[in-house]
Amino acid sequence: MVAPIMSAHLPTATPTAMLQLHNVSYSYEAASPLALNNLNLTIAPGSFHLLTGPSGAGKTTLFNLFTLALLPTSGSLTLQGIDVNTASRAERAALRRTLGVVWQDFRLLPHLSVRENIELPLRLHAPLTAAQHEAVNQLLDWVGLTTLAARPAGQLSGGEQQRTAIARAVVHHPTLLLADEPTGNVDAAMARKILHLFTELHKQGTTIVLATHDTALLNSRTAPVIRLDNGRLENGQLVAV
Amino acid sequence: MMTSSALAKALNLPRTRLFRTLGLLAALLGFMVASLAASGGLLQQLYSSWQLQKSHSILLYLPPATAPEALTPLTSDNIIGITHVRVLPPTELQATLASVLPAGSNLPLPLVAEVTLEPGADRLAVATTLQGQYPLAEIDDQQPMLQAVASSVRGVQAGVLALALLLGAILTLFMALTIRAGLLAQAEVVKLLIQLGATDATLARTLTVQAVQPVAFGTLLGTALALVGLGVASGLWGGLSASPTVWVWAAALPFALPLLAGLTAWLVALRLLRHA
Repeated sequence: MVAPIMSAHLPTATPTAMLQLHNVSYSYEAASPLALNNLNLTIAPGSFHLLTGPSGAGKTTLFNLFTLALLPTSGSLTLQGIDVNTASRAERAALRRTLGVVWQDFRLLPHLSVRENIELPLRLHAPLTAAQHEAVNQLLDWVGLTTLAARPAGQLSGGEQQRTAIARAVVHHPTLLLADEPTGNVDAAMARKILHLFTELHKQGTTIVLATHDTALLNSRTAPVIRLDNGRLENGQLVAV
Repeated sequence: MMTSSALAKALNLPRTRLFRTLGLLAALLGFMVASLAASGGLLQQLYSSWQLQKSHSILLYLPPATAPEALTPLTSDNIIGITHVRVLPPTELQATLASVLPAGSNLPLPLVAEVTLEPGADRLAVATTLQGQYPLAEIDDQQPMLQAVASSVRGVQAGVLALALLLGAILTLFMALTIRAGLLAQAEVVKLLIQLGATDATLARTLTVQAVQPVAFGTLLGTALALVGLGVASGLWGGLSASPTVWVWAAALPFALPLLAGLTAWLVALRLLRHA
């Protein structure tokens, strides 16, 4: 795995909470009902959380708030000690560079090769170093895509795209890894490998939030579960860390 | 900072159909701007040469019966400011007066002398001296004509400038629409790159480079063609031989187009990204 990327825009001191929501609500339009209603939640650095809930519960909205794709309509969301509502666009960009995100729809660039897609977060900062190139090779090998490295991502199967998306999310050693159904399109063996990778990253100090419907996965882990229902936290206002 | 090639490949704005026309439009505009600059420069060059000649001479109209010898004192007396006196031969005189003489007229023609002045000579003082020496003469110091021609030349040059500005405005509008269309077509890619941590400045810079490249290439091509045309024209008509200044203007002015394109692309991209 490659070394983590530091950013000059972010505070260097370790925050007490990786992610903190204080009375956070979100609505897509002013007159529409709240997709998220008055959430209070703290995710400590180095923790591993599972996020679940029925369809329409607000899981995707919360996931989008975590990834800074959305900003709270009211309340405050603090990521690594920075209130995202008051942060400048440059600060939010710097925060995003510390995130690793696996979207359910993968969001790969179809005209770029598998390797180019995986390298994108690294090349946001500087040209690829020899060590990073080697790390990408190892990651390609690990997700079983070495032979497909030069193939455009648009020509991959669903499972291959998912593995590419996971490799892209972890290649820059993110501080916070957010994954939406990361094992949804892969076979059981690959799912185990992916969960093993996430466990290894967690042991190295990466904070992980994994959104899933997979009951087997939910039952198999001792991680705290954030359960959403109808835009509210089902299991209280503050999840244990 | 994202490496330009990686981000350029990710964004790949030139893939959008509208973007492909940008280079062609720039070539056309580059050709037109270079040609306009050359035309304006050549007009100025011809006008300056003509004006230099005209502003250094005064026409002296003497009564028809006057003998050419009457002009001898002008050269022999060393009048200050006069370098040369030339009596217009009958053919040149008829051509000069053709517009004011009725066709087939056999009216007696005046004796007309072109008095050439020293550079910087006091035209009014020389005219006064001439009038004193030839009380019956009519003196034409050509000022009204010079002013009329100067006014016309400036008018044409202003027209050329206005046309160049219009072309610039068209390009700016087209650039703005193209960048906007390109960004909208690549909205998902832009969103992903923002999500991965690309800053507005990085994205805007890449978009600007992608917009400027085809414009610069097109401008280069269009300008080269216009300069070839200017060279051919200079070769064919000796009187149109362009001065180095005209060449420099014709070659340099079109490159305002890529600068304009870059500025427009940068501003439009930043504006759209801020609303993304």
